[in-house]
Amino acid sequence: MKKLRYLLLMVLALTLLAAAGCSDNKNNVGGDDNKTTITADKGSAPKALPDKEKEKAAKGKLTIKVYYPDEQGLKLQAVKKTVKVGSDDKYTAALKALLDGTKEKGLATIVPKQAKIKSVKVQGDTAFVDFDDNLIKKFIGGSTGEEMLVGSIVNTLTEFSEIKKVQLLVEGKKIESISGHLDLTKPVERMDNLIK
Amino acid sequence: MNNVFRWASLVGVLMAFICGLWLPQMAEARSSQSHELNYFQTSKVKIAGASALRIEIGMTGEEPKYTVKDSLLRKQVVITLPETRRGKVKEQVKLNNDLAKHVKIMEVEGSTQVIIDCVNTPVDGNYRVTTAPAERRLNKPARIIVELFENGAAMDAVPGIKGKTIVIDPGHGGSDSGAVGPTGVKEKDVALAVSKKVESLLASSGARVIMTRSRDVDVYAPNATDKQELQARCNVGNRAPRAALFVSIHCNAFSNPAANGMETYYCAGSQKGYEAANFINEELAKAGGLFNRGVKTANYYVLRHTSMPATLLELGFVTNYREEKLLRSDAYQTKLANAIVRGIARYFKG
Repeated sequence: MKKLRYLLLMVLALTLLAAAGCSDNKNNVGGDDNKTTITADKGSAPKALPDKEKEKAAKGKLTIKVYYPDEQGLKLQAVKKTVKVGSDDKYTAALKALLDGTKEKGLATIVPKQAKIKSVKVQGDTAFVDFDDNLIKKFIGGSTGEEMLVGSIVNTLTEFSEIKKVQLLVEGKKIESISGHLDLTKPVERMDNLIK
Repeated sequence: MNNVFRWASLVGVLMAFICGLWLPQMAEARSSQSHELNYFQTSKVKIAGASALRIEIGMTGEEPKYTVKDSLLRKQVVITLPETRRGKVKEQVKLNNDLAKHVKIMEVEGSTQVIIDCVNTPVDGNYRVTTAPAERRLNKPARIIVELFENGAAMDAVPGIKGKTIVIDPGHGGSDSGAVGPTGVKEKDVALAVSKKVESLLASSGARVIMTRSRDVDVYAPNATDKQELQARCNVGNRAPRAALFVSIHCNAFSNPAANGMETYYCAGSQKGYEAANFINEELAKAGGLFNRGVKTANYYVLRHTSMPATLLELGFVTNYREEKLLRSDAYQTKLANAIVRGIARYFKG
């Protein structure tokens, strides 16, 4: 059943893409991260985005800042990436770029490889980011790990000036913490103190 | 149990005092007494939960008089035994353990000098010298006993915390292992082990200690939500009358095994929380010797939802091979527990 739905989604996405005249069909999630161009995973394109129409119009390449922790887990460092905005809105594209990880020297990838974004919705100045449960199940833990994980997501999204706060969800539900340290019961504001 | 040790150490100190002040005169009265060394033994012992190396040097005659000097630069403890000959005891004894490298015994102008090369700098409090009378049943002659403690091991009750109510929160537990290291060391186990040592040290110093958990259990219930579990820990503190400090003990983890070090946290805006985090950080840095990641603020649940000053300690990274090994060692856990208690004492002294 799940497979079938996935397949259907793929077909749907492909049709959309073909209609849009895009020929790039690389599935890149969790893959190579040295490439600066990220093509988002079409399979999980969010369906109900309020400003999807607007995004479509502004379709194209976008250079964004994505935050990765240094390998000591002390600070977050901005890495510039160019993402393609098309089937994904810019927020999803930015997060997928983050999830792709980095192989840049001295930096680490903290978001679990298996974690997938289910949707990103923006209400007012708050982004609601819904992950699958791998975000928690596959997470290494530790308060530094948790801080860097949340910090990298929040800081990457708040690079967009219209977003001031981020509420994390897992499987559609608000979460209270990821590994039992941070208080995530309320939307999290940008964590400038973590930036190098 | 601890009380017994405290008494033992008190008696030891008293004996050393008596030996140092009174016995020399007594010995003078029967100045004809001289000694010849005839016994040498080392053993690993536990004193007040800390491991120590005991060196016993026996001799003919009664309990000896002696003088002690320690050299910080040479990391030596030098004991002089007047009117004593070396006898059959070896001149050089290699020890090569984690507390002492070797012992040299030599005759100097009718006296015998015992020179112990230590691993740690010998300072007041991490070694002690006592004497013991002959014990026929154990076949031991009169001895001089040198005990070298693990660095940072507290021998006496820590002043300044008597009567204080302190909440200790061993992180995670039960259905939540916390972070797990590459060889399987679990955060919840290290946190509990260190917390229990802190508990007993605090209690023996006269504090009232409240533990959020004393066993490998969830505080709220197995598989509860994070908020239920974390709020339950806060509640233990919030509901305790006169709770003056909340100390949550954790180990850290990161996706990259290179990440290492110790850090302490407080709730932004809490001056008292900062002071506690800062004192404990200083003591942990001194005793633990890990990279000091600093005193930081973070939006941690137990720091935000406790009604008294609170600090969260990250002792080290279980995801770092070296630190995982340290964190699971009993000796290292004792060292850290002692440091935490010293930090808490400094906090209450202000």
